[in-house]
Amino acid sequence: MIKKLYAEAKRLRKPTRPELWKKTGILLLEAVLASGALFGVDLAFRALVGLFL
Amino acid sequence: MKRQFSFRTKVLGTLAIVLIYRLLSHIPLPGVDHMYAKAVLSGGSLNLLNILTGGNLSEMSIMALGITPYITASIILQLLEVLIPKLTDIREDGKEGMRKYKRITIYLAMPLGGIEAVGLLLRLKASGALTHPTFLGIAAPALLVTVNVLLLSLLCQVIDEKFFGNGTSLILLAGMLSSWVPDVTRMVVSSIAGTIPIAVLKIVLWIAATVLLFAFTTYISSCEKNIRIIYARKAPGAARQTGNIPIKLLGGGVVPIIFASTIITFPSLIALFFGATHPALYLFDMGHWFDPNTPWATIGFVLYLTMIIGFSYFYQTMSLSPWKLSDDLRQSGGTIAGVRPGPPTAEYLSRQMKYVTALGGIALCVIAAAPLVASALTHISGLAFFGTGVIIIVSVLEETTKAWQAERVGHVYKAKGVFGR
Repeated sequence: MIKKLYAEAKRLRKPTRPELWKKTGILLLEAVLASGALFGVDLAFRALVGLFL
Repeated sequence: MKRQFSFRTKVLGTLAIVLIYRLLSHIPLPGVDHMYAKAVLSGGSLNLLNILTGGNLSEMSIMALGITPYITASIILQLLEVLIPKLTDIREDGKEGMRKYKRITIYLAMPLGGIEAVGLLLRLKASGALTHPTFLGIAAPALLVTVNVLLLSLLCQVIDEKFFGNGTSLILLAGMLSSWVPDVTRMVVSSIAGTIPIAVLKIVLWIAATVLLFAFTTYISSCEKNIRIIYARKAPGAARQTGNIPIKLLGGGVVPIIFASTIITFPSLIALFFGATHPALYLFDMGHWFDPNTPWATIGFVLYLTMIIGFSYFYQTMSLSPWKLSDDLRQSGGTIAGVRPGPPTAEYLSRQMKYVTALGGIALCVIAAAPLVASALTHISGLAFFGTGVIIIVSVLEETTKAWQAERVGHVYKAKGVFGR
């Protein structure tokens, strides 16, 4: 079973190293930008809610 | 005739709903001592729920349960499909069927949300975190939380049907990403408490671990097995057309991890809500796995990994049936080289999927287990679900990017008048 799984793993289509790092970089950048934007939005909303409640 | 929104309106509509969700997440639930409730509802078996709600649970906002009852309801419904085949028929009955299926999910999410909200408030009452520990003091906030579960489920459905992206995924993503900056700040502040070189080393290690986990998750989510298809010639002498059936390593995405973590933490969650304590419950509490004082509780970890692999198989079979695939191939005149059409093709596909899914399950186990082991070794709480968080973020961002590209292409073709307006 382990041998078969290993053989199967070798046959998979995998991303090349540049493809992988480019994709990882883009995803990390998207995540960081989105979390920054959401943090800003949260700060504004927290202030707004604090003002009324 | 149904109104079709433009691409820009769709994106703005989705953004507006995410903003509404974030605004509601900051409205505190009345009748609760929030400082005390935060201490009661942080850590332990509530870690997963806190991550999935973007910290709304420990903050006890009116969105305390977030979209989690809807997710639990969809898990239950998908498991019920094995017993009630009619549910599968409804799900596969085009757009109208899918709408009906989602409505059933919401009907199931409502009582689940109600039970969870009452359990949560009873727990807070037992800890003395309610300002009015009367029947009304429990019923009114529980009703408010349940109504907000309904509202959020409906908003997700609006995103799915009218606007851009997958509603549930985007709400989950928004919750998770919104707690990133506060979490990182907390981590940096706690690191600075030591000497400077150690603090810098800790921060560098943490960043490196995050990047590596992101890279590994991206790597396994990009791996796939391509099965080559040959189509029959359309005319004598014409060139043969070929194609591929891609079988993704993570066919079920993050769903197996969410299924397994929801089920494994359920007993200790219910026990926590109703104030029950028993050493046997440590099996279901991730905080007790790898604990030298309770080594037997690590059996729960083995159970967790087994469930991840089991659910990977279950979800792969549900999302890509080899028998249906073989039927579709036969109807389109395609064959797999060296395999006869019909049952042999289905058996061949099933065999191929079995190995790919096993590999995917093992990869998911690595992602789920690495932060758990790291948490046990470093004694840093909150790390336990870091892997689950990263895989959800990567899956949703990839899915959203693909949907964005597809919408853009459709928009460009429409603008050029290729498909008509």
